[in-house]
Amino acid sequence: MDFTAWFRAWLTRHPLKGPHGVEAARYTDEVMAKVRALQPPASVRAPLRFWLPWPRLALIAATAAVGLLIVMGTLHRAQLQLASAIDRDAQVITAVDELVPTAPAGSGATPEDLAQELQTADILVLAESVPSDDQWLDQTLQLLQQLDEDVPEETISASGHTAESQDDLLKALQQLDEKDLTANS
Amino acid sequence: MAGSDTEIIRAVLAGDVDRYAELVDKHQGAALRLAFSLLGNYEDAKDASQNAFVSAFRGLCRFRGDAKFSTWLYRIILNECKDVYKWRARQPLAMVRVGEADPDDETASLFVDVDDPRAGPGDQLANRELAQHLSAAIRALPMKQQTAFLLHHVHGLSLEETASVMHCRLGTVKSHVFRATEHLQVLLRPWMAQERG
Repeated sequence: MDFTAWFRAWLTRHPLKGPHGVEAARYTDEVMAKVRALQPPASVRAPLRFWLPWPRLALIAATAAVGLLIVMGTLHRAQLQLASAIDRDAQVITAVDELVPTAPAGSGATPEDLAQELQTADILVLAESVPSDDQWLDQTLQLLQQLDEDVPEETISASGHTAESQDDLLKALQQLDEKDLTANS
Repeated sequence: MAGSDTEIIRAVLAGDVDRYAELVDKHQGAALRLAFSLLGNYEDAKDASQNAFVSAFRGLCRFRGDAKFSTWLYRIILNECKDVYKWRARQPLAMVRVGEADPDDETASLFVDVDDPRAGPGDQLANRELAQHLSAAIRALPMKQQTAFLLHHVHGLSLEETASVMHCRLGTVKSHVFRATEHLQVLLRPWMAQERG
């Protein structure tokens, strides 16, 4: 038999002493006299934990909502800033595109085309630069007069032409020009 | 009209203060026995247990009902007894400490001396000596071991209830009870052998 079993067996024969000389009714009356002198427990202010849980939950929810709004607002603002930056860049690119030619010269043209274009341009330039027939005639006549003044008669005669009239002279000059052109080409 | 502890507590909290007397009537015996086993003096035990009832009434709105009222009351009694111990410790050693158990007093023993008609005068004397020796051995235990041993083995509380009353872990209570039992076993071995013989 171990000690615990022995002790419990012994305790059944020798129980713990009870209230000795204490009258139960008197004991209760004394306690109740002290109790009645106190405030009733129901009127005692309840501890904070009885009313705090609900507001605490609401407070947590409100804090979470405010935090979420702040985060959403920040993200939205960042998105707007990004969109405006993209628009601005697009506008700059468009403006640059307008300045830069879309098909630079010579990018797709063959040398023959270029030569033809240049010839056309030369003809146009020459056409614009060549004065009218009257002007050309006047200028030529002025030149001839100057020549007449400067060049002696023998020089003209030496060329095989006779200056009988202005028409003949003009024809002679045209022939000379044609010869020069033929010789140059 | 007797009701369950919870029912009485609800009624008291609702304003029917007089019904608290039912709780006092119901638990005063156990309360007195616990206080007496811890203090070894009837007068101190009565004062401590009555103060515990008043404290329990004052804090009744904080009683959550997840434990028994008796367990909650025992915890308050334990605190009251600790206050008595502190008060006793402040008494000068040169003076006779008020309320301490006197070996010659009948309260020197925690246990009832039952006069067994079948036992001879020698056996009755031996039983009385054993009761006093056992009481002295229990009182000589460290405070926590003594409390755990009394609550569990003498007052019949489960280890879980003992832990709840002592406001400590179950493992700690088991350790206190084991050490107390081991100590008492060594001290009482001759008496156990004599009883068996």
